[in-house]
Amino acid sequence: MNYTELHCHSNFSFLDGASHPEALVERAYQLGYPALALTDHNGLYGIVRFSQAALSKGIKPIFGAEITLDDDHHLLLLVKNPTGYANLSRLLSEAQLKSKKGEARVTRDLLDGHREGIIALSGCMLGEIPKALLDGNTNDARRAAARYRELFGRDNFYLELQHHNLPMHQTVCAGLARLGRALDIPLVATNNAHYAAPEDRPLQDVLTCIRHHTTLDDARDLLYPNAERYLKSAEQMSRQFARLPEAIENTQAITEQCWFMLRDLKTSLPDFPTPDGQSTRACLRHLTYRGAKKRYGELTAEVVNQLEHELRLINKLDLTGYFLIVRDIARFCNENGILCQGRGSAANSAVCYCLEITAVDPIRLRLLFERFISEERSEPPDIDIDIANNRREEVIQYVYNKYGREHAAMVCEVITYRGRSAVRDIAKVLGFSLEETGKLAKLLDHYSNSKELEERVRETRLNTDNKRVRLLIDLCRRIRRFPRHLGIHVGGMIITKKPLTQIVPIENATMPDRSVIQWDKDDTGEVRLVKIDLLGLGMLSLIDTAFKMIEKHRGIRIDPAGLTYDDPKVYDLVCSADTVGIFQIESRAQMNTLPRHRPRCFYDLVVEVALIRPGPIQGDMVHPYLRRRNGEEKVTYPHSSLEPILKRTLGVPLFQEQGMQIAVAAAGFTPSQADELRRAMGHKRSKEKMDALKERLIVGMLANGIDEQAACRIFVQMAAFADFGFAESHAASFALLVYVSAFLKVYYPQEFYCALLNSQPMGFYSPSTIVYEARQRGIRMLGVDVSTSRWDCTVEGDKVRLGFRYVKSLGPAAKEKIEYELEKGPFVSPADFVFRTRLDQDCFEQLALIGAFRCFGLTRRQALWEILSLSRKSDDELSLTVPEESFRLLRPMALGERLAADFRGMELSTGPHPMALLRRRLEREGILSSNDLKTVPGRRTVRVAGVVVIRQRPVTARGFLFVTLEDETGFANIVVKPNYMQRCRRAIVYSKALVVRGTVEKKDGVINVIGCEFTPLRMTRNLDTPRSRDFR
Amino acid sequence: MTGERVACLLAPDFPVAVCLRADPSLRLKPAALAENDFDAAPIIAVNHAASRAGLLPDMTLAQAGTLCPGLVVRVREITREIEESNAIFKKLQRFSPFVEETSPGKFFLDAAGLTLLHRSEAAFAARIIAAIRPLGYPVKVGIAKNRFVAETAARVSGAVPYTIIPSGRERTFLENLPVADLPLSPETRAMLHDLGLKTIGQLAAFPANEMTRRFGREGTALSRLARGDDTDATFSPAEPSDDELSNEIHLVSPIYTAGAVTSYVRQLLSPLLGALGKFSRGCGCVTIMLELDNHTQQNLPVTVERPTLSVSRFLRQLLPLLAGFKLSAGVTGIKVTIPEAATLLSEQLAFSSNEKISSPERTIDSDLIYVPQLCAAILPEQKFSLAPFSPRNTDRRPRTMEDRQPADGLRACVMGNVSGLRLLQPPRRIEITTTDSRLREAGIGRHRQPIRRYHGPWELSGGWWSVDFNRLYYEIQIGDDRSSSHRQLYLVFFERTSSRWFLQGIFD
Repeated sequence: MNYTELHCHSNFSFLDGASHPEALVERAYQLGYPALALTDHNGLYGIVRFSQAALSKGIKPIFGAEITLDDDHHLLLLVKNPTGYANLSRLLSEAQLKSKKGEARVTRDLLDGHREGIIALSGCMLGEIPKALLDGNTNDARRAAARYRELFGRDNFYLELQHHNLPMHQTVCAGLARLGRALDIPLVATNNAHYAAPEDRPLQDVLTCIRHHTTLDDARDLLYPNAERYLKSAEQMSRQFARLPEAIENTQAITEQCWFMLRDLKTSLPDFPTPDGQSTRACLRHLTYRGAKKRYGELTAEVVNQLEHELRLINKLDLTGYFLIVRDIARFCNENGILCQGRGSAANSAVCYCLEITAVDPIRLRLLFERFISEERSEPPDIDIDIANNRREEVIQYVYNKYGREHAAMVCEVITYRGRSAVRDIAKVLGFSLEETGKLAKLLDHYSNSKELEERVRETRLNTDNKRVRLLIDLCRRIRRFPRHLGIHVGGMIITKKPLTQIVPIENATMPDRSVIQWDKDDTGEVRLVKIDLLGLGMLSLIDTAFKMIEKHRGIRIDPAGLTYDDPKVYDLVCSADTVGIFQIESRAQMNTLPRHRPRCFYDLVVEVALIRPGPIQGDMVHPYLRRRNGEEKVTYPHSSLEPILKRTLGVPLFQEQGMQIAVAAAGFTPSQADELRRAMGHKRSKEKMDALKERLIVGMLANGIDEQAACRIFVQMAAFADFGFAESHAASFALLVYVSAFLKVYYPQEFYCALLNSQPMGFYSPSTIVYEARQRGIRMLGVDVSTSRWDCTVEGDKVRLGFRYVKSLGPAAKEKIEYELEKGPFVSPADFVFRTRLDQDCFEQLALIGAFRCFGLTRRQALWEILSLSRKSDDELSLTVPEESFRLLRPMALGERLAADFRGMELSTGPHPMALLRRRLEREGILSSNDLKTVPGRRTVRVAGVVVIRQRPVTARGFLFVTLEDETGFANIVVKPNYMQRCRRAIVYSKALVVRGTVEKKDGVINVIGCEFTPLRMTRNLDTPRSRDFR
Repeated sequence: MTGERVACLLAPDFPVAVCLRADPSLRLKPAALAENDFDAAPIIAVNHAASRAGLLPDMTLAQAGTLCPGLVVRVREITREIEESNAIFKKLQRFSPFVEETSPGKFFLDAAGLTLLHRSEAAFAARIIAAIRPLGYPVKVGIAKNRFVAETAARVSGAVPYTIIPSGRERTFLENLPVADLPLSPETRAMLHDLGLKTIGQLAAFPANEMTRRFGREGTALSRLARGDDTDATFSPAEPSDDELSNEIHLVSPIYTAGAVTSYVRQLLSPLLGALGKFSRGCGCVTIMLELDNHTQQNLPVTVERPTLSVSRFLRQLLPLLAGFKLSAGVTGIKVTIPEAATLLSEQLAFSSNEKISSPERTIDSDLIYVPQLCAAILPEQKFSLAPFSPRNTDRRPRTMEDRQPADGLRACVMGNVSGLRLLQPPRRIEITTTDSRLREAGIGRHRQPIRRYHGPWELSGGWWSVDFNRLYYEIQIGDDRSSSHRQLYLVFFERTSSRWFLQGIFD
């Protein structure tokens, strides 16, 4: 006998399901199920993954959801056909949008209006009928059953029997069977599965505890009383319901009725309104050519040909509406002074350039349009628009308003358990103390496998033989990548012609005025939903802010389009690797490359942006390029036919487009086939597909006279950077921002640093490092001052004043109060500040401790003393005089104390660097500063010390760790080899400051210390240091 | 306490000292002292070896277990502590007419005028120490004008067994001591640090009114203490109200033993009695309210023969009360209340022997009547607790039933209709004979009897680390099917982990 589980929760029931959809499908496959239903709580979050997995195993996917009614009863709904799917999606959307997040309730009226195409099951023990039977209210149960039968129709309502070896289930099943006979309602057996196999039950218990914010010790009957809620075999289920075989048979009857597949969903973009009844095609052509005249002036044949080629393809693929919609968004930004620019492969399109969606001229840079759109590609093109971070919300709201909430929503991001979050939640559930949990979470932030996880746990000095500790390790491993909750994708928006609610349920986001669909970005591609990425970019905010400051303070208006992109001073700065804060080239690896690469023109910047990426690094292209660039190696080409393609990059393929062009020129691929090749080589590679394409490529190259060895080498290089390499167009878009940010740093450093501090968090460096860097460049940084500071940092002549935003205890409410009062006029005394702002006492105290009242002639401690008194006064006590006697008794803070207070209150200081306080001691011990390294000959063994500001362990570095130490003179670059990393891990990873002994390595002006001994550096008591930023 | 000289005797880490005295071998192993041996029990103290393994007081035993393999746990022995404390107390009574024990191992003696008897305060202190030493506790003695200075003198005396602060030298003595030696709230301690005030002397320099303006009543008290001027030298953060004094604690993890309850009561009662002492009042009755984790409360009135300020006396009365009192659920909160002293002794509960108790709530304070209630648990034996009786709503369910939404709506009842079920706590081991997985005979009582009918099995499993269980439940019928008077219904289970049968309950 066949059995299909029709009531099954995956981990997309968010903390109420202990298996991935794929694991459930795998188990169903092993059990020989012909079909499987996924019925998560109040949503269709996991159905795309479920559908893909099920179809790949030849199992029929059935879609459904367990909904919660407005009286808290549960009901199970299964989709029969497209109408049923649209109804279920609408039902869930309306319930979600009208309820608080996570508390969706479906009203009876709503259910009544969306019942077509749906089969309903009476549900679990929280269903209205089982609950009434459990309470002994047989009449209520009977009435409810009759009502549901009436609502869904005789063939579409089933009484659901569940038996988990509990006496109450026996009672309910018997009652349901009686009801079925009496009312002629069919029965169906389910097991209300919450996990694939019995072994998953512990994880289910843990998830239950996380959901209820409790521990396993306190959970008691919140946990299921046994381990029966797994996918059982047909035999087990038949045995369980031996007396009611029709309940098992009916699972197949339902399976046959449910035939909806996700591929049945039809999606399209809304019709874009055009003027004067113009067709969208005509409108796009008109706008393109109008833009082309503005961009190019006179239209050459080359330009016209390219535009016609693109327009033809756009029309053919019916993408005109899409281009008009994106162009409309760009227009809105431009008209409202919001900095934006298209990025990614869209910059390969001359149409996008003419429509002012992108800023890079693809014709001048000879970019390949097919990288953006190709005929063979089954997915729609991807246009990503970078928008100034601080104004992105305006653009998102514009889209919502223009297309309506029914047709536009943001893509969700399923937040899954990672190292830190998994440890934090599980340790709490297992009863570890808060302190221990915090420590564990920090130590177990990153681990790649169980062995590493166990090693990390051992580092915490926990007793790994203890049962709780073993469980922690095991559960952390098992819970990884489990969905925890729904977030909003960084910028993906979906716009559709028919209401989105018929395609996918929508729900409110936590952020006000935002709604999200229940699928993430990868799922949208599966059903061909067109996504437009409206991404916030901090650098655009910075540029925008800096431009406005320059105009305000210096009366100079800068137009990025008016820049020539060839200023030698800008390139001098870039060549000297003085690039902290500069877009894309501020990382340690980029800084190490710049003195060797020595970019002198805009295209060099394009190359620089693309060079230090996993693709070129893995493909071993970085060093050959740099050697050829510096004349150390001859420029050669794998084949003469490739010279035109690779000439610009000195014979070394660096960009994705080059890979495609090679396929066209050397192997005779069409541009579309070349794009297919690139995509096949992407991060979701299929071995079979790759092998087939490799053969085709090599055969093509051999036919064009390229020998087999060269052909294979070309293939390996292409494979290396196909996915991880940059598109040339993308690099070009970014290079524009590299130049503009470097230009600002060279000519308007005050505005640059000020805007950089106001745009945090962004980039590689902490605000503390930025402040020290600015000071090293001779810019005076002023601390927070209640009489002159604003919320944001400000430029005061040639100085930069820190804003209130850097005071840790001040949040959005404080911001509002301070800004409101500042509008009325400056604060004239501590009392004036206290009584006008009425902030929390903590805020006043912190402001006093960081010296924000120095403008009134008070030391930090005097201010604190004064604040303590003021906070206990009422308004009419303002006239009390300052107690001079007490002031005399308060010692001013020593320098170390001031720094400690600054770091505690702001995580940065405008005072000296903490390392400066240790310098004498370090000199006595023969420990060098980072500046001293410049004068030390190479290969000398030295000791150097500093505060750890960055730890980087790129995946391409084969286990090497790069540590950047900071002191009062600058940075020291430390390289940690894998064997030292293992040996000295604790000191390297957890020390705030380090003394490193190692060998100095100097090459092309780049200084590294190859570390061999790592000792934590003890700072002065209570003195904090900047917090490091650690990357993988 | 009437004079101007006070002696303080301190037995540092008294609970630990009591424990070590009973088992000296503990010095060598990592050992922790806890309120009880449940996983959730907080650690009171650890020895050096355990401390090196990273254990700290206030960690739970479960947390300690994850850090320290081979940890030896000793449960705090309140009774022994009280006995030992009594022994010290009795010895001290020989030295002064007024002796007070404020917390375990801390005693104050009125030392006024005793120099006539002992020739000097030094001799007085030496004699006290000599008298206590045979009991096996390292003690320190401080003598000064007031309690705070005397206690501080005892605490900082270091290698010297006693320290005497002559009258008028208090401020000088305190001057260089760290402010942490003052009884500071954590907030004030942090604030003084921020203000750069490190020593008591620096604090003493500030005008009292300035301190008051910034730190309120705590500031006033600190100012007095810092100058050594405190007349009473007990620090109280708030003045007691006229009607009643109370102090309470909410516990993160429930506690289950009388010992643990006593320990917390001690902590809560000490400051209350101290505050009462300020007003020259004594206390003859306290009410101890226990908040249970099934969201019910239980009140325990504790009376002593005559008004006193001795915590130990109340504890001596409380212990037998708790011993006879079955805790049905974990204690999650304790509130100790001292009602108005004047009415305490006159309002004790008294039954009228002639009154017919038809409506118990009319005769007995309804707070003292309890009814059994279901509570949240998977296992039947953990499902019941005592809940307050309410005459207006006798079938009121415990709040847990309403507040919690058990998994899949199972409610608290798993095993059928629990109202007709009498549970055996703990379940009793029995023998059941099976043939071909069918239940045949049951050995309940003295005889083996055939099983006429049975339902089941139902399955309960879980427990994680505390009570690992995996049970198959059956409802079995023994006896004659035709006569209900001979029919007996039992709830039995087979424990898979031990392959044993148990009798869980009997149906009415």
